Amino acid sequence: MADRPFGLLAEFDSPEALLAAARKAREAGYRALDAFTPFPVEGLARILRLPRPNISWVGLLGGFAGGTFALLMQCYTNYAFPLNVGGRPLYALSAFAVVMFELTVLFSALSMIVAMLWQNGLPRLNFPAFATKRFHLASKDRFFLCIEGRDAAFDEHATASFLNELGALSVELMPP
Amino acid sequence: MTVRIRRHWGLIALAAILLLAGAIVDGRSALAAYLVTWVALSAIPIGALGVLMVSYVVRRDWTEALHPVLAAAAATISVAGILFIPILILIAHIYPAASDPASLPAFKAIYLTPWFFAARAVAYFIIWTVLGWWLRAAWPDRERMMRAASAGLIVYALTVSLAGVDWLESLEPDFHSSIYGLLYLCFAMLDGVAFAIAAGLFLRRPLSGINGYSALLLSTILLWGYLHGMQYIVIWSGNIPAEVVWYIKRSANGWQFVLAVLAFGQFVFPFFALLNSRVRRDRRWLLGLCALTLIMRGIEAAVLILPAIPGVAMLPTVLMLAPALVLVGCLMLAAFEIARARDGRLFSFAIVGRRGTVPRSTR
Repeated sequence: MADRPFGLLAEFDSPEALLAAARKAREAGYRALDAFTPFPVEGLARILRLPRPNISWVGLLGGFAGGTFALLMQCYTNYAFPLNVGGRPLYALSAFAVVMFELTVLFSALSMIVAMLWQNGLPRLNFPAFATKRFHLASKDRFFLCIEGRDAAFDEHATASFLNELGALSVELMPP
Repeated sequence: MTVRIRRHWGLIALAAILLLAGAIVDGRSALAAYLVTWVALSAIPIGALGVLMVSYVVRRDWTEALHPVLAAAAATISVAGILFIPILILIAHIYPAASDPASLPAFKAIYLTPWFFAARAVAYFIIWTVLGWWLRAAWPDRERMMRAASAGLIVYALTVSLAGVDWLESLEPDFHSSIYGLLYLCFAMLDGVAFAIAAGLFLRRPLSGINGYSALLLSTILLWGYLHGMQYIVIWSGNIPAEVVWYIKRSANGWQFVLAVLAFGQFVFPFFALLNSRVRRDRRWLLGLCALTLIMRGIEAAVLILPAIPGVAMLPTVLMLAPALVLVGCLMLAAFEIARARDGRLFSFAIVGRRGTVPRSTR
């Protein structure tokens, strides 16, 4: 398994060609698909069945956690060191609301950043696609379809000829 | 279109007679009910004018799609001004500056003198009407639009804040809150945004990008909640009797329930509903939330106005709300329909052959 290639990278010259190829690859039974494009291509995520982002739930839970933490922290501070401020109640929700609001926003934002980095595995120094010769064009004017090596139907030679049949301008092997 | 308005003339006349009778029997309650309705409904064109100017400065697809509705709503501002006249006539019934000027501090007694109060109201409406004409004439010339909207927004923000202080805050001359002008500005913006989106969804069925409009409504609601939260926290921390009284009056005698309905219906429920992306994308949900916002504008107007008027009887006030709503609502809706049919102008100064002066059929 260790020397299995990361996948095959096929180059196309238009978003329409990429969409057609992605559709045919799905029909041919490939499931581990990915794509690299210079700009977002409408409908591509649906054809590739990319999972819907669930980051908003992380943000919601982070927000609730921050609000709860701020409330408990302030309640504890006032319990451990009670101060009479102009006769106001000890556990004054009106005053707590400001800190609760701030920490809700802070925790929500931080949890989403951490979850985003964890999900896309980001601080990453290298990626197999960088080893191919033409990948830099993905940020210019070319559209790349990737069939990953972990796909059950993946076979180095059969898949490469399949991609050539789809009309790929070039097909390159991504090293492990 | 004319048929639909003519069919309602009877109803409008009946409402006017009822209000007149109510004003003779109990002037204070009738005027209080009329003021609540007028503030809630006149804020639609006032807010629409502001949203129209913002939409001139940031031009996107959604601003183009909403332009006919916003322009028509903003054009009805002169009708709102005409409907303010009954309040000016009966001003002594509810405004302390007119009924008991001796009780006011020296500056406020002079500033809020009825004739000066009336002169300012007239000035505001003239300024806003002229602004509306200027904006309508600038469309769709990019540079003229930017010029009109940039200058207009400065004048608009100042005059609307002053109008809020005049019409609402002066009901309680001892109360002071420096955020009050902004509260009224946000009140109007929320009214304008909710009405424009609802009318846009209602009249132009294939309004694309629904979630963008939902985000617009959500951010306006967030601004509203933020401003009210700010005023509350500042007054709570300061704990000064003259200011705290404002909240005490609004959390007694049943007003605490109205306040709870307002907080839930205008902030908590729409906020959590709009967090859901399926709700944000759904036309019917958005229409419902806009309708809810418009209802909540009426409730907020009641919370701002009614507890401030001493000795206002609740039952006659509530009874008078219905004819006031019919009178102001029907007239402003009729004006809106006329302005929409005439391409965003209420009165067309016919320059023959110029675009937009020929009335188009409504539907």
